Amino acid sequence: MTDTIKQYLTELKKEIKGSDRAIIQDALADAHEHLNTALRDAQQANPDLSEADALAKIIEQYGSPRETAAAYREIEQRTAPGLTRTRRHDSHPSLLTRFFDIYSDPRAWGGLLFMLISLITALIYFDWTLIALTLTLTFVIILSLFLKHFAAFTLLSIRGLALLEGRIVEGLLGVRMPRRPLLYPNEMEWQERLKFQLTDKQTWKTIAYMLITLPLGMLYFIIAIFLIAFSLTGFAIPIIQEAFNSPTIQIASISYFIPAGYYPLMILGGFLLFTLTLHIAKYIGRLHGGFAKFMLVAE
Amino acid sequence: MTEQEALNKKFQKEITAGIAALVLLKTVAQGGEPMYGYQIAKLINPPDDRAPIIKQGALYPVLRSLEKSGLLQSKVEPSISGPPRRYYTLTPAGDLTLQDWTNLWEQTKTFVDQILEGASPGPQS
Repeated sequence: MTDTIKQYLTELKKEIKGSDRAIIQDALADAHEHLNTALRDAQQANPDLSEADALAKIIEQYGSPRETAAAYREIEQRTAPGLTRTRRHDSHPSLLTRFFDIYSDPRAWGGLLFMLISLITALIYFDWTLIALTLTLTFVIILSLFLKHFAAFTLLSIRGLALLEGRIVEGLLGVRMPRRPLLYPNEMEWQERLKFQLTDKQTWKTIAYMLITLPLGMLYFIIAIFLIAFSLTGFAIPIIQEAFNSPTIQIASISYFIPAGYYPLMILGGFLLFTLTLHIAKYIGRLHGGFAKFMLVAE
Repeated sequence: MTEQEALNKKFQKEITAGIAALVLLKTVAQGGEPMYGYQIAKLINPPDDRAPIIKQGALYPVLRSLEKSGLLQSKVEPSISGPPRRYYTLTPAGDLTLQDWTNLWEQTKTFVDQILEGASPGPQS
């Protein structure tokens, strides 16, 4: 017998254990919202109704924790996240095929794009996290009497950013991330709410992620730009030398032209390096996706 | 649970797995305005009903998967009484799909009815 919503959520958590963490977060958020709304409706319609009685009826309609867990698992198996593609049923593709197959892999392109935009997003996350932390502390210490809601809000905004980052990670890197914000108990006084957030491990993991993304974002951006630039050099040198008659290397008055015989080799080199870049981008994307999931999705 | 009940439950589950998406699309389409999960669930299973055919909890993941397939679109809006709510509307693709699925359902229904009534289903087009 489930007497409270909290109990239902605990049971649901137990039943859905072992599923993807993002699905767990979605399922809990849905149940939390639905049961609360339904309970409020039921008690408005009939104020004498006890919570346990009202809830029993609501759960009969909503489904037991076991049924709900099964529904989420089943549907998630039918729909894969973001940029996934069905693998070709080529049982033993050669190493060469696998190497060039990367051009048709959306994860590689997603990874490359992620590396390029990560510097910008990381700057925003880093700045806002620092601002939010500073504001929170300031409000708590000095202005808590006047701006109490704002103190809790600034911390909450970091969770909003975490959700946004989750959407980017899922879209570009194909790692399933939550589609709903992390639920936290409502109907709390602001002090309790703030305390809950400050003592919640997830808040600090999210903040740590936001801060770590800046150096990571810089690194990804630099790696991506360097690799792309070097790859393009292979294609660019023949054009620059032939079309613009501009030397590849110029030291003082000595101009050095790469002999035309090397052009095919350079173009091939550029092409191979770009292919390798896509592999690296896919690999980094996978690593970062796992890291984001570990840091941003609650256990 | 007896063996018979377990069989019934399994059969019920297999049927509803397919129709939940159709029922949701139609409900959202009929609403005319953006609706959130609880509203949709309440329209599908009015609370005074007996045990519902489709549990409300199973509707939410289907809503998400319909959005993922581009048949529904959603936007999140803050609510006065609780956490922000996700409001769903039909996309043009969802509208077309709903028509197709309704036709498919009509064909299936006629086919099954004919079998159950003992008549030959006749040649299927």
